Amino acid sequence: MNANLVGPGPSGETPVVFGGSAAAGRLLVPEVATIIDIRDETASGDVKTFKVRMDRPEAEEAWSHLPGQCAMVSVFGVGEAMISITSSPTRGWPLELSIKRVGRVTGALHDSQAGDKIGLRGPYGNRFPTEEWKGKNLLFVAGGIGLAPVRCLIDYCLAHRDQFGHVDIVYGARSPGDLCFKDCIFNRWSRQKDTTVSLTVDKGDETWTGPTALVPMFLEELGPSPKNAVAITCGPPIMIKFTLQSLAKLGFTDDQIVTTLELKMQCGVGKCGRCNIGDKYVCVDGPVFTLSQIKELPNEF
Amino acid sequence: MPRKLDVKTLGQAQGALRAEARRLLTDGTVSVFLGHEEGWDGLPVAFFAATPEEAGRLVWNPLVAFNLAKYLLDRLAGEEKVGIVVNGCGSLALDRILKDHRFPRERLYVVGIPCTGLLDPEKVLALPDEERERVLEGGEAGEDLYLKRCGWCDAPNPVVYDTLIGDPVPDEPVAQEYPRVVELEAMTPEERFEHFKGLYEKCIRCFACRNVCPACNCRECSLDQWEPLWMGRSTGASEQLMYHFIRAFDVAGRCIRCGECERVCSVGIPLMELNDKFLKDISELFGVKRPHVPADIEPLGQFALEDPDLEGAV
Amino acid sequence: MASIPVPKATKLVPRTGLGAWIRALTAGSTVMAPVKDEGKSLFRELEPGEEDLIDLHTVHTVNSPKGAILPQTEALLTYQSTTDGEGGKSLRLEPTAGPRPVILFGVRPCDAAAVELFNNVFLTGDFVDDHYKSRRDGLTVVAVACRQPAKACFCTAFDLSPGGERGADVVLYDRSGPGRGTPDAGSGAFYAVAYTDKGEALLESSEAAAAGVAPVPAGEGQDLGRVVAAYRGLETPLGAKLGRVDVASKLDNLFESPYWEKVAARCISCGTCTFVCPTCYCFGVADCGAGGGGVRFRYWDSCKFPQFMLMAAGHNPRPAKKARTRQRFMHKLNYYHHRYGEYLCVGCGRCVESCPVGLHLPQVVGEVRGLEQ
Ligand SMILES: Cc1cc2nc3c(=O)[nH]c(=O)nc-3n(C[C@H](O)[C@H](O)[C@H](O)COP(=O)(O)OP(=O)(O)OC[C@H]3O[C@@H](n4cnc5c(N)ncnc54)[C@H](O)[C@@H]3O)c2cc1C
Ligand code: SF4
Ligand code: SF4
Ligand code: SF4
Ligand code: FES
Repeated sequence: MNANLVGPGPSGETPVVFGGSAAAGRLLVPEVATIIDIRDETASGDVKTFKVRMDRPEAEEAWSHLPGQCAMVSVFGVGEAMISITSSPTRGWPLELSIKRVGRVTGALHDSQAGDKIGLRGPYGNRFPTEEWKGKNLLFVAGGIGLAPVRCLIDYCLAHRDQFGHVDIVYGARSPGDLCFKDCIFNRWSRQKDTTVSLTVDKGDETWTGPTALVPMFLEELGPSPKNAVAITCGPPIMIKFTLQSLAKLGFTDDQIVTTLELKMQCGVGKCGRCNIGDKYVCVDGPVFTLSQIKELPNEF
Repeated sequence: MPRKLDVKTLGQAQGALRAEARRLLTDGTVSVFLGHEEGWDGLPVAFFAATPEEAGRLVWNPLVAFNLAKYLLDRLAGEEKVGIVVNGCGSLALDRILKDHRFPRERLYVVGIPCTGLLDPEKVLALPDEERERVLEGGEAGEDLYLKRCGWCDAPNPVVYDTLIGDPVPDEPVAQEYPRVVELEAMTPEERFEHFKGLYEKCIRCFACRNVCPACNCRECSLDQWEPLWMGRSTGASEQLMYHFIRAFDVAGRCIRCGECERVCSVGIPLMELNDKFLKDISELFGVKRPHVPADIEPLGQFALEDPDLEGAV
Repeated sequence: MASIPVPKATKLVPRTGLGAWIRALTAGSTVMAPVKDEGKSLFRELEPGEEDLIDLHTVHTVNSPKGAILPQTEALLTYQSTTDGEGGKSLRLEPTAGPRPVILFGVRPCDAAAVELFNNVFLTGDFVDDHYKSRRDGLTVVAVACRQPAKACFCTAFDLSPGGERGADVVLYDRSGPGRGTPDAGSGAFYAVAYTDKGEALLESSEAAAAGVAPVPAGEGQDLGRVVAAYRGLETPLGAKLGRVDVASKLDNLFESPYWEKVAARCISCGTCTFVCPTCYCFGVADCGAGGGGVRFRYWDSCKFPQFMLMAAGHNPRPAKKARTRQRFMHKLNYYHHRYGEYLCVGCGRCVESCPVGLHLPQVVGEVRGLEQ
């Protein structure tokens, strides 16, 4: 079993040496990986999806991630960035990473080409507690690149379709060109049994015939029922803020709402002291939290 | 030679300072007053009085070594008017920040106190109890107990103030001497390089020297930037030299010779060596003894059409 | 008080034999010790022949010995990328070789205990930090009990003591026991007590014997027990003033307190407190060398630096001094306590002595006690 799936390890627990990224079994030393394909996700090109493979077959074999987990991606000479794994484990290798250009590492990744070498270590973080959701209806609410971690989860749930009730996917972006994972949202997902995909954009264009509304408002209009349901939401902080209010209005309790947090990270393994909120480290105790867990944390951010 | 510490006058100044701060906070001239209070171990620490009652906690004694002016940068955002107390060197620090346009003079109310010298808190704290009490009560203090900067101070009277407490003290010019620089200049370039490398090797890059310095007042320090990365985060020799040379060049011409960088350095690096080299060169090249004398010349921060070096250059 | 482990070995080390003993130790390991340097006492690697510079007089070095297990800059790996004639790329990663074993000689019991607090972080949980582990495994700690704790010492506020053995393999106790006056004006010999196998090996080696490390004379056993107990029972000046630190649960409710704004006001956001502290461990990771090849290293970082949490796109979750100061003290006195059941401070007093503006942990503990919930 993957060591970091057992959840955060408070002191006293027998330490488990992690073998996932085992260049020489060293924690902060990544595996060498190769970018095998790069695809633009958005019209503006600010989000790209990278398909990557590890160079050592044994390393690929040792790797196993679950929805919600992340990988630390290295561009040597520049640095590292924590990135959610957007491809479902059920789809195997190559791994897919969808990355928004915001700074040095993400910029260097955007400037790279298929065939370039990078570093990968992980998988890190906890995961979505899918086994607790058996028999429940799932409501996914995502904005912009926030669909990246959720995409992995949706694919995973759809691969285990029989375990869940109705699946509702609500997704929005600033403009039609900013909608990511077009193949999934326009084709693959809506063809699945008992699955609806509802899309919205803040501002349409001449090709757009769908609704134009901000995600939280759109969600309220759709009015999904909280009965026997779980809501999973990811997106920019401002969207999350209003989506949480909308979910509350719809009657979702804090326990029924699951989201992911993002903070600056350097090690990804709970050592560097960077990513804490109160006594929780987002890199090992998160990034997935229920809203009631988040409300227990100091209101720092 | 430091001036003779005058504890009685200091005590009177403390009373007047409290009264003045109380007045300013009561009549609304300022909404906060930057001074010192007695800290946990008896040494003065920076204190920001926000009510007339809190003005009663202000202290003024031979240990108020810490320059307060730099704290103004924390209050840059906002409209509030700020009161601040300065002695001679404290006013030079303030003057630096004003000249660099890092805080508006209109938002300041400055209470100045002429200075009869300050003692080095660390050295005083290290004295045996009775000896410390004796000194703090006005007994003779050895020259080595004074702050180093008192030894070369020629500005005991505040150069900026709105209210002056007490009478100005006599301020004869003091010869600015740089014995350590003379030694440095006598070295070969290789020896000098080794010397500085050895000094800065000990640096733990805590940035206390930069953060305490009134001339280090840039909005964003180039040394904090990642893009471009001027200084790597490793503590190898090249990064250490980079740090200290950049810093010395940056404050050249603006360093007020307060020596605070050297005083706060926990590992004891004589940081003033390099600053003093620049001060000495500037005084020899431009006739500017210290950045404020004459007050209207900024040796490295001014452009003059009649600059003799311009001839033939344009 | 935690129970005192049974010593594995006890010896008598004459002061005059210290140099030879350390010289012998230097042969197999790197020795780090407090050394007098231009008036300051600094922890650093001892060069051969420098044995006489060791400073067992000053209670605290300015810097802590934590660099032995978490160097300020530590290479993690080297990388080298190449492109062949056809444009095929390759990348080689070489984890850095294991470090030489280190003997920390002459650390104070507080600093020895601090190593254990690092273990909580780096060796427990789902991930073991192997870079740390290899340094820790190669570390031997020879502590020296404090004859006269310094003014700023408060290890006793954390159930540690000037004669404590936590984290130490060997503790040296001046034979004449604790006492006023100059801390090293002792009797000319130390009782050396080994509490671990590693310590025992150090004392039983032939080199030790050659340097004059000898059995405790028959009949002196009782004196030894008395002396060790005296060190263990010694009070510390600031510890006596502060009492046992007990604020962890109180702080649960003080996150929003206006106190943090007030206490942070005079902080100048340097990293002195965190860098001199033996228990602060936060680090960053960066690369040195562009494109083709270089080194990835970690380096000490500080929660007191404004850039510590700065994220891409300029968002900074802790832009204000208030938030950063609160983070430092909450981490030490509350968050860490929640995770590991103890405080992240050993009462060494370095922050008391080194903060340029007199803002330090004992003061905060004292003030927090007085706050309304
Ligand atoms: C759990 C999690 C999941 C994420 N998932 C995704 C995802 O799926 N897709 C996506 O696009 N993004 C994701 N992110 C965000 C992503 O990690 C950041 O956008 C990325 O780290 C930015 O890196 P950068 O180098 O481009 O930005 P920069 O800000 O330029 O650089 C950040 C890096 O540079 C260095 N650095 C720069 N400035 C400083 C400084 N002042 N102090 C110290 N170090 C500095 C550090 O090495 C740091 O890691 C996720 C983040 C988290 C925490
Ligand atoms: S104060 Fe001293 S140790 Fe800190 S950065 Fe400056 S020179 Fe280095
Ligand atoms: S508390 Fe003191 S040492 Fe720490 S960052 Fe603030 S000023 Fe520097
Ligand atoms: S917080 Fe202060 S007293 Fe405690 S271990 Fe760190 S430096 Fe020492
Ligand atoms: S990223 Fe280092 S502790 Fe979380």
